[in-house]
Amino acid sequence: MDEDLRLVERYIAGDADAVEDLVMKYQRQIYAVLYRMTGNTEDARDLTQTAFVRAMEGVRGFRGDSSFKTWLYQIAINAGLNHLKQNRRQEVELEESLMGHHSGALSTIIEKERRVSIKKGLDELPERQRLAVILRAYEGLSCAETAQVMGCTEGAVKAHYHHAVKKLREILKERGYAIRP
Amino acid sequence: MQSDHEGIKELLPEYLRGTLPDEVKSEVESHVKDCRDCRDEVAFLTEIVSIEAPDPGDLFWKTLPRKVKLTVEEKKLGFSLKYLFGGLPVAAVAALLLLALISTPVQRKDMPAQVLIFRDPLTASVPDYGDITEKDITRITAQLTDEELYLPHEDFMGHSYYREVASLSSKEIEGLYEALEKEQRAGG
Repeated sequence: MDEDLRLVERYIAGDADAVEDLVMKYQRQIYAVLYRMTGNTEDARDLTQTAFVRAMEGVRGFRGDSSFKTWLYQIAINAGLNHLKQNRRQEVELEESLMGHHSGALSTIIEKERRVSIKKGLDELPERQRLAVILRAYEGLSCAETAQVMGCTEGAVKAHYHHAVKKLREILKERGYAIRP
Repeated sequence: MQSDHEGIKELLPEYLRGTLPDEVKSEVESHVKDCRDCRDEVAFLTEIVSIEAPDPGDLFWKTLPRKVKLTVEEKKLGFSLKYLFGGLPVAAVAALLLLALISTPVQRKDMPAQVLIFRDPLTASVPDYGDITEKDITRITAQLTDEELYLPHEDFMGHSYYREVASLSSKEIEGLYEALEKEQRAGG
């Protein structure tokens, strides 16, 4: 049996420690997704905890149709989307962290500016396109897994991802950053 | 086997994360070498993936599993109480819990069970006088001396209100009763 399923069954059987094992296994991935969605470390930390608590509260409803991992991503992304809807804010934290220290070699500064542009370009993408890039490129989820998490077909994921990459390239080109092959 | 261009392109994120099996990985590598489009895609993905999420620190990673566990347990307990007392107002639930708490006998090891019964006002059993007859009362009263009847009611100065009231005449008692009633009406 899958290790995640074993942990879920242990938890349902009354072993509360199984929660800790599941959190330890996925906390870094969930935090990274939520950070990329919100662009804020504090929000990402809070939402990571919220996502795990919601997952464990609803774990009895997990039927095992998809993997526990994609199910957990689904919950985390819903938590992230709800948060963004309720609390749209300017994402300055990353920009500050990247641009804050202008000391060092010129190449480092240019590299930092380049990253800020990429991040901004990513943020300008429509929500579902951005999610497709986050899940596919950052999290390395397959098309099928991404489709499960986003609640759409694999074809839709491919389309979102394709449009996102195209748009991102255009945005970066406009700002004078061509992707180096 | 992913021999077509689109199929290989789909695998590039997994390729960059190093999660592909060796066989597929070499297939992707040999395709990317000859495909300009896929090379661009790899360059693009490498570029955007280079933006890492800032590490929230060891303390966060170490405490999160326990925090989640405790929050889930707390919520579960809250749900059970809500299920039990769902229809009652908060004050009623609090009163019920308090009553349950104080009416639960706590037996100390050094104290016999009988003592506990009389120390606990809520669980103390009322003595049954049902089998005492008029004859018994007369006999018991006769056995008591004047001292036994009144002395226990004396204060530390030896003054007895019982004895004082007993010595009053009927008129004086009536006057005292009226005075008390007046005081009660005045809210005293």
